Amino acid sequence: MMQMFKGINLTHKLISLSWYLLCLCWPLSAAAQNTDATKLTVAYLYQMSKFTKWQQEAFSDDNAKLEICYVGQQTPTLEALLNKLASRKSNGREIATHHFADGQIILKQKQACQLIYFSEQTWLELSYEQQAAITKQRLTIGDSKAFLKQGGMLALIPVKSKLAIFVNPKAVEQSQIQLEARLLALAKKVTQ
Amino acid sequence: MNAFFSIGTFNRKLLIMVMATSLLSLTLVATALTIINIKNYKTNMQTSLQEKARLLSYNLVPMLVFDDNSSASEAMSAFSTNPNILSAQVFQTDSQGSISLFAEYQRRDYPSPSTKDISSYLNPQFSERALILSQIISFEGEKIGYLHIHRELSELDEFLQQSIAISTIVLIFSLIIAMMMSVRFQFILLKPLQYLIDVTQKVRDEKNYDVRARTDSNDEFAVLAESFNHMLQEIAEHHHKQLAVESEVRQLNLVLEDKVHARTLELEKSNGELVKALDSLQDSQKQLVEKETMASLGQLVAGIAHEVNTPVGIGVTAISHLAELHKKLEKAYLEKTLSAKDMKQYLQTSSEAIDVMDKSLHKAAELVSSFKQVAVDQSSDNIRPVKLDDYLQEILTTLKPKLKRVSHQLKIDCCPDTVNCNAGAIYQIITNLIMNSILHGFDTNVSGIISIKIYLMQDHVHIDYSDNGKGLSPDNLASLFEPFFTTKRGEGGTGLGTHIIYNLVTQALNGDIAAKSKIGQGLSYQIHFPVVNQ
Ligand SMILES: Nc1ncnc2c1ncn2[C@@H]1O[C@H](COP(=O)(O)OP(=O)(O)O)[C@@H](O)[C@H]1O
Ligand SMILES: [Mg+2]
Repeated sequence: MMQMFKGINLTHKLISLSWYLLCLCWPLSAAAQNTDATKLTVAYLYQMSKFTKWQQEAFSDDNAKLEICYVGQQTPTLEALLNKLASRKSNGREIATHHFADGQIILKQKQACQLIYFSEQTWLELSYEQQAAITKQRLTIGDSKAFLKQGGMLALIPVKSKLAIFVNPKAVEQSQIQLEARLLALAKKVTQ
Repeated sequence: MNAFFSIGTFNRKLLIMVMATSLLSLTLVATALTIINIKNYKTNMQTSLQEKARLLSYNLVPMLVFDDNSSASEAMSAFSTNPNILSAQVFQTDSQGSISLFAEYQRRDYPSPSTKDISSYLNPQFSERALILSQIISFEGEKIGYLHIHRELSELDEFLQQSIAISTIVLIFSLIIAMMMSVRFQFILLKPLQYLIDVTQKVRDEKNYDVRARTDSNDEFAVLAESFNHMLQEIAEHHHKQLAVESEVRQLNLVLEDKVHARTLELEKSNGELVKALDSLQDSQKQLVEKETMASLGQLVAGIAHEVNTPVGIGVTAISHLAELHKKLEKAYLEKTLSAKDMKQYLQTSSEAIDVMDKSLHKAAELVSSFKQVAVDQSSDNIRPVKLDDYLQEILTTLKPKLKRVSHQLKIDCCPDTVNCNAGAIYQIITNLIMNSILHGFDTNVSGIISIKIYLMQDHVHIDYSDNGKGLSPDNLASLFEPFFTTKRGEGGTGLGTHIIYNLVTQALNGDIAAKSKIGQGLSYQIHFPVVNQ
């Protein structure tokens, strides 16, 4: 309960902070801007997990953790954020966070990774078959419309000063993942 | 027609009662239903609003979580299709618990509501214009914001008006139906009553107590009709009896009238006889009064004769003596035997005789003049000055012949005043009183006392007369002054003496007389009369 609260609190803080930074520091420090965007992204990933329902088969058992995986460039900030997130719970499950340099490793290691974030080009580097294999039981979130056009499900794309949620309804439909309608309602649709 | 009116008021009362009851109950029901409906309507309004708010809140969760106020605004603007929603606002709560507006919708004509006390509308509340509700938006058990909605109430007013209109229409229809039914029922209910009224009317108009009311209505009216019939029965019996009695009375009356007529005739006849008898009685009374007056006059005359007799006798004796002497003297003169001595004796004797004659004749003249006075007074009502003591003596003088024959003692006490009065009346009164005392008061050879006291007091002459004779019984005393009352009828008594006294005192003298007596204690009279002023 307290953790939950802290999560929202954190999100809020991040939003405020990012707003602040975007307004004032945009031309000064792109790095700083990236850091805050990452924070916001991680926070959103966590919140999205709460609106998502996976099939029973997605988890090895009832006590299995929800794995949130980040594919992309590793940074210390990200490391810290992911570690922090690992102490949370989502829909009653404990959370485990992983970082991967590219998506193939997940398939190779047969990682559960129920929620995967593909930053930048990491999704596009995968083959069509690999993408399909990943998508089947997993919620895929990217950071561009291109990601959605290539079969990704959701994308967190900065619009103005905020992160807007975009969705590829077809991909969501085809997967065995269920997203809450209220989440989909605010997500902007992008067709493949 | 008349009969209809007679129960018209009852009809009307019944109708009014039914109508009033219907109106009251219908109004109560309508009001209760309207109140319940309004309450239900309000509850429905509340629950539907709550439902709407809950649903919206649920959908607003990701918008708040992902800080997407444009989506929230879009969601809010969906209300523009619902004219009942006046305003809807979404508030975001931060970690400090402070609240900030996140998105809002407002109907054009509705002013932006104050954002204070949002949390006090968690239970929906009715304000003047709106139903206000705040819904907590929570996610994973955490309060992340509020949805604050104002919903229009004009619909409620419309509903109320509609319910009232429908209630009124239903009420009017119900009343019309109730009226129709009650009129119909009244007719059925009051038919036996109307019939009873007709019967009573018939009884009253025709005085026919043999009609009977119908008792087949099988309700209270039947009981009433039965009692009424019973009553009629009794009245009829009573009436028949009364008629019989009346005819009997009439018969008796006829007989009585005849009798009365006969009696009246008889009475008239005897009345005539009585009148005649009274006339003759009055005649004889007059005659007797005259006789009595004549009697007292006779006594007067006798008295006068007696009194005058003595001096006249003396005069006659003297003059016859003188005549004898005169003859002797004449003879002697003619025979020329007259001596001086004889002459001298003659002269002496004749002068004595003349003296005696003179005295006697004077006495006689004196008497006559006094009697004349009395006699004149007695026969007239002349009023003249009377010296009371002298006049009493005069009266007694006239009575001397009677008094001489008895040995009664007269006690006189008379004041010497001179008063104006009817002297004759007094004479007759005193004479009668004394004569009665002598005649009735005392037996012969008894010497009684007769006292007469005359005095003046307050311009009244009082005469107290009494004797100590036999007196009268109370019965006789009561009829003492009645004319013809006498205890000496056939012995010369007329029974008019006291009556004359009474008349003289009360009429001639304008006074009063009272008599007192007890057997053996004598009789007394108290007479008083006013002095006549000149
Ligand atoms: N002084 C008296 N004493 C007793 N009885 C008297 C006396 N005076 C009158 N009476 C009674 O009153 C009666 C009526 O008297 P009065 O009228 O003079 O009638 P009369 O003398 O003709 O009988 C007398 O008959 C007598 O009985
Ligand atoms: Mg007499």
